[in-house]
Amino acid sequence: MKPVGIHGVGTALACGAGVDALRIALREGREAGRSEVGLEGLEDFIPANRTRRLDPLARMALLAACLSLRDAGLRPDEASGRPTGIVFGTALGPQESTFSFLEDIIGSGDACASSFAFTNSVHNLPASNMSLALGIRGPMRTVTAFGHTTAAALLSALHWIREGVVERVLLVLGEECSAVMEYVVRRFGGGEGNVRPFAPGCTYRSRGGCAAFVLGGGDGPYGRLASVEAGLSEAEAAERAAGSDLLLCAAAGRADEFNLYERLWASHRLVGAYSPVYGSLPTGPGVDLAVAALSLRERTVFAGPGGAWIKGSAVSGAEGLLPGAVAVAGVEGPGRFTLIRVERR
Amino acid sequence: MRPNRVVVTGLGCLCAAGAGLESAWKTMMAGRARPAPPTKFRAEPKRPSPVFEIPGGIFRRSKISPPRPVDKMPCLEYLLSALEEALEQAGLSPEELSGRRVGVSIGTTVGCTLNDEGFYAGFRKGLEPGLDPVERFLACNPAPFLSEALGLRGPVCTINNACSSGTDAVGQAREWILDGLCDLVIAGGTDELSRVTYLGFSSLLNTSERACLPFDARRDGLNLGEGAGVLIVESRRSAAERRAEVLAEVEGYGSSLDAYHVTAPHPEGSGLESALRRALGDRNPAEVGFVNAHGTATDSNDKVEGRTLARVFGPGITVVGTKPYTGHTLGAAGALEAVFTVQGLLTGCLPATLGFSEPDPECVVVPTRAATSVARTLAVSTSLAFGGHNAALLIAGPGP
Amino acid sequence: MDLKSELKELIIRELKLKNVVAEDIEDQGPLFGSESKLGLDSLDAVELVVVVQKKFGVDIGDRNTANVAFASIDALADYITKNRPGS
Repeated sequence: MKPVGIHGVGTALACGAGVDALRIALREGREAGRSEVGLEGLEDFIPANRTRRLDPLARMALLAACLSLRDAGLRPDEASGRPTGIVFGTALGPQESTFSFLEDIIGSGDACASSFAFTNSVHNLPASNMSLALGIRGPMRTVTAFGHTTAAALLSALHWIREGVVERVLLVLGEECSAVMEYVVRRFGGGEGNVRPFAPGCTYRSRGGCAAFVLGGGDGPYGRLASVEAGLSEAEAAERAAGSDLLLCAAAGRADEFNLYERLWASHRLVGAYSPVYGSLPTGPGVDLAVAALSLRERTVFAGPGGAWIKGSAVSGAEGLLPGAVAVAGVEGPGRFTLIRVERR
Repeated sequence: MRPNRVVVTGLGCLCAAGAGLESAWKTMMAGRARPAPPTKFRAEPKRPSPVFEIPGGIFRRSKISPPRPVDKMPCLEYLLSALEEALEQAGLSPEELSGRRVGVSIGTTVGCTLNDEGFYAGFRKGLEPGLDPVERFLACNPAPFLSEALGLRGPVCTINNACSSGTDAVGQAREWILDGLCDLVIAGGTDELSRVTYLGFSSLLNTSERACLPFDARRDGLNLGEGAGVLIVESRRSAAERRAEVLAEVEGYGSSLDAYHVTAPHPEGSGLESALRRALGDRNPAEVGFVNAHGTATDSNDKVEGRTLARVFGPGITVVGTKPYTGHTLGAAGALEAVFTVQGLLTGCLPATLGFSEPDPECVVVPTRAATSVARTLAVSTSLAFGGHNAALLIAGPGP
Repeated sequence: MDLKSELKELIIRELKLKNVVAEDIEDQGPLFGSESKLGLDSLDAVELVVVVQKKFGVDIGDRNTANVAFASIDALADYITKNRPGS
């Protein structure tokens, strides 16, 4: 089967924009805290007058996409040089646009419904805006299925590349944080302080953020996607992860997390959850994929913030380890898991 | 020849034209439709537009026990109704599917958004509204919902590609089967009418104040609708093992972006042509007997789509627009139209494109004016979506 | 602020124009089309319809009316003045 590799990674997260910012945050153990995702820097890639109508989610996705292209050695105008597809995965969709539309009809009346807000609230607009800004004319898919999103997005990309529909895929996964979502999280028991994966009680801290990948044939500088599997039982996921040096769990501070992941983390010698670095996201496995890619490129296991370690530790278990294979696990639903394996020879 | 050819063994349909495919098709072949002002919600845009509502309670009560009540979620009720019908035709029961590696690939727009006005109205006033709407939003994303309701273990994905979601859901199902991820997929689309989409499309000046007229020179916009379409899609091998009747084959699928404009299609239909060529593969376009067009009856869609279909298939290609019977059902449209395409191949006939009478030279193609006989060999279904996305399915029928 | 200045500020703000100030918009210059320097398109036009409705209570609902009213700032100010509720 044709190998598919990660050729570029771009991130727009609470810890900053670009893989360098993520790497520094991981090395120095910085927590996301109350930081917002910075959206500056898009004008370095696309002129401001061409992005004037983009809403925050579209802006974040496009920024992450441009950063991943640059990481892969491509300028924005080079993105369309080869057949390229776009896959965008989001659980919550465009927040500001959705609520701004409601604000207008509630506040000003039905005749004042905004066409800008409605257009931007359609979930595939971030992907369409990427296509417009970068001139990409290949296939496109926007997927919105909560815990299933990351796997579904990756499987689409893998099919298109392996079947030769495209040569590469720009894969972006991410969420927007909004005042409404912060209210919802607070009512569900989340609140101040930092994400503590697997800790008792709810420490969910919604932050928003996007991770973008340039996927293509062959091994990339970050390694290859050895497998993407969906709908695994906990036992199956544990078995698949066994051969990897490091297992990342997309635990995000939900109150029931310990039970959800218990058997999985018990089965592996080195388990990390880096959500304290980037906040809580339904598409957390997407960001973990970026962390996994960095781990492989740097041949290192990042210390991360204090709350990131479940098992083993950066000092006693991981020091000196040069990871060649990293597994990323995410909960899809009760008793079912996504497991992604990335390897670098 | 691919080892895992992809076939359709069950069809389910719920739309304003009828509950169940037989009922809907009968209404369509008789040329009957009743768009009317919305009754399920009140809305006062400057230009009210008729819609295609599903009357309450006309759908099949599903025997599937959902993990939570669906009475406040029409999107899911419609989906379950269409699913029930499709499973019955495919000779499958929920019990025998439980625990099996069966995929769920569903398109929707409204079904995955948190746009509950009451909730937001309370929030903006600082009233700390209750979380029922949020719980529904979290629990009722259609594909995870169905997978959980049936206890399935295969891949799960809800696609939100706006107006092409249903077509893409069938295309994705085909990809999963070709990849060997599963042998059977529940593929479809569902959407419900809502004040938000009604006002949203009105704000874009895309809706007509009359019944929509696809490809007609007098057309001036779309009508919205609601409903669900479901197709049971499986590998040919799986269908053979089950001795299930094969209704059609999903031979090809194409998806392509215009990269032209956020709401307007590329004037030369470059993205649509690319999607069509991808779906056709190495088949000769001359072999295609008919096209179920997207045909929303907006000025730009029909002009671009018509010209592109004429360019790819020849100006005399038989084209049907079924939205005058269903309205534009957004996330469900592509799935309903895939169902109608298979039905056209099975019966060898198509309904009239209701209301059409005045050809528009800019559209080039002329859709069906009356019930029309067609070859039962090969057909295409197209969708053009918001944001410049184009999708097409190539469907092979039982043959002459 | 007079109506024409108000319209210029409204267009810049609501259509999210970048690197444009009111002084750049001529009263008689075309707002739309290739002759205009503003780079507005069909989506901007429908949003401007909403903006005019929201701010002034004036409806510009069909293409013909929009072609007339959106020809320039002068034309738009004129249309609003004539069609404002109460005028």
